[in-house]
Amino acid sequence: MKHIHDARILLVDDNPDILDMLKNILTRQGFTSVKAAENCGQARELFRSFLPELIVLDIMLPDGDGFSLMRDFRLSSDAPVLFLSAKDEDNDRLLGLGLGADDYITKPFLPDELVLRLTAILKRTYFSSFHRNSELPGLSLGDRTVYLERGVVLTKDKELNLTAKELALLTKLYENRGNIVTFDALSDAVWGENYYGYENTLMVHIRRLREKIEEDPSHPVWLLTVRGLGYKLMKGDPSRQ
Amino acid sequence: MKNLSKIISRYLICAVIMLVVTLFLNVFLYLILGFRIIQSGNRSFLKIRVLAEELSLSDGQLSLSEEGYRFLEENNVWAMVLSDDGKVIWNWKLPENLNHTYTVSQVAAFSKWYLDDYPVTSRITDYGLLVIAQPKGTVWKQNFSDSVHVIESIACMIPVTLIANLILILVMVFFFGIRFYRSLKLLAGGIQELSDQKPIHLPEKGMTELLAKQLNQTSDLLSCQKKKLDQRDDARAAWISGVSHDIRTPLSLVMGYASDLKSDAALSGEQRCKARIIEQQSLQIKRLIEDLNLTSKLEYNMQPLRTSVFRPSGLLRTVVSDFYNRGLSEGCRIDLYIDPDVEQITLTGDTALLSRAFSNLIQNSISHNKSGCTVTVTAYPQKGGVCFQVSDDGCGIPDAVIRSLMGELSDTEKAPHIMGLRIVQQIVQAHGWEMVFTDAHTIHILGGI
Repeated sequence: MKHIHDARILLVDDNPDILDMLKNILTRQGFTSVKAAENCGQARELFRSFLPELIVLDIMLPDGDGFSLMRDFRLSSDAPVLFLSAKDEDNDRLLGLGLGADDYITKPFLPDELVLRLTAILKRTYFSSFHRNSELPGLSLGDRTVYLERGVVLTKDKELNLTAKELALLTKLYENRGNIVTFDALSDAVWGENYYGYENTLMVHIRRLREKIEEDPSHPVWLLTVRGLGYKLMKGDPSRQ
Repeated sequence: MKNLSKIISRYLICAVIMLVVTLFLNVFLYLILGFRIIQSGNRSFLKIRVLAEELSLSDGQLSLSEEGYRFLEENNVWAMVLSDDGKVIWNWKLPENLNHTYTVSQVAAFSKWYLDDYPVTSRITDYGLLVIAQPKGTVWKQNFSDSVHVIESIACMIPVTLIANLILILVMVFFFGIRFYRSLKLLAGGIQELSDQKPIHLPEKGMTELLAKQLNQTSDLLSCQKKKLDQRDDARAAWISGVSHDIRTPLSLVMGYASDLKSDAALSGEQRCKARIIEQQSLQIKRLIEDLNLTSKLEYNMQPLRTSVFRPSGLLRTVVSDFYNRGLSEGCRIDLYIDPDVEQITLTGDTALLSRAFSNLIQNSISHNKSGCTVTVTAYPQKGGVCFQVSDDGCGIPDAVIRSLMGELSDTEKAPHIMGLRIVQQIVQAHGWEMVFTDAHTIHILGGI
């Protein structure tokens, strides 16, 4: 598979209308190799002949259930499985994920969400090593660039090293860029669950982080404080917003 | 069981008190009776003595004073005086057939028993043997004599017999008490099991046979009712779950194609706008289905609480941040105030459900104030727990909604549709917490108190 859209995707659902719709959605999103099965028998046959690289599975099927089908598939393949089911019980969700499914989406679903999750699974499964081997482009924050892998901030004239805690904070903020990350989530990322009492230390680390990534740390434009809630790493170029 | 011991010990104490009281009452009564008997004997003795004193000899003839005659008249008796040789030397109203000479054996006989069925009393006077007789059938005479040894033995036997009786009665009281305790213990155990909603079948015998029978019948009745209620609840929950499950697949198609049409460049702007509305409304139906499922599960205790220890301050920050991250509509603002003392407090609860509860409250304020409002979320410590307060400066909660949640709506009033708030209340109750409305704009949730 050279590109994510080349992935062979097997859709299994007892409702042909849902299968048609899913095929349409995925084809329109650029996926070129999508096949559909309406029951376990067809699914097993296609699994052998089509060798899917990702399976979207319904749980209730006319001649069996998705859980058993997944167990069968797992005997000969590690292809990621995404459950798409009308069953919303916690137990079903836990059973599916416990069996090793990569995601569980309950119907009704937003097509865009399904495509995003499906793409994320494919990226994680087939392209993560590629990402590890090649360095990500730097995180551009105005006239500074942050290289998270190396833990450095490049300014016009010098290179600043980030401490382990500053790096952990910045990674957490980067993962949720554009969104508020609460004090609790940040402290949890750095100190683990028993983070109580680290609030002041967190503020000190944020101040130091600002000194490295902000042009004017007293008037930050990238790493903003959201009063009473947490911090936010701004997207794009805040000066142009 | 503690109550049962109390009942039995009280029963024993009562039995002992009754026994002692009866014993003392009897002794007291017998003493009075004995005293009266002695007094009565003394009286007849006194009568004849008084009469003897009224006798006098004048001119060789025995005569009685007027006092004596009045005494005889008043007491309706007859009297005679016998000389030493058995002749009647004086008499008063002596029946004709008795006016004769008495032999020694006749005297000996009537002095002990009766004279022609007349109860007679005799006394030796200076003039002879004075005999007075009361009317027939008025006095019972009994002679008693026994060896001194027997009399002494009887005197000793009375206290021994009394003590033996006391011990025997006490043993019986305890024996029946224990039997009673055992029967009641079974019943008490049965009642306890019934109150724990467990079926019972007690042995129907002994002194509690009827009670056991009635308890068994009650248990059967309760089991039957519980079974029917469970069946009804299961059917209702299964129906809701089934319906919501069946709606999910067609709704997926509606949402999927609406989303498709929404971004179809071939359609006009108006048509795409309609597709967007269909998608939004489908999402609304999806949320309603989830709410309906959750509320029915919470109502029938089918939603297990996945409890863990959590920091309420962190939970509130996450909930409020999520609203900001998803994007707040124009004019809306959420202010969060957490008392510094709350930061160190931890509570136990299902964080997913509690987040849902707080989100519902905030979403309610936003949804019902289309032109915007400020929602204020506050948390402060109270009695070892945390008091959460969610208020807004919008239109406020209608009175009917509050009364419906508090169960104060009368039968004739129509309950408003308040699934979001109902779920909040159910989640709060499932945690053993309390939800309080102070006014139309403020909801308090008292957690961990």
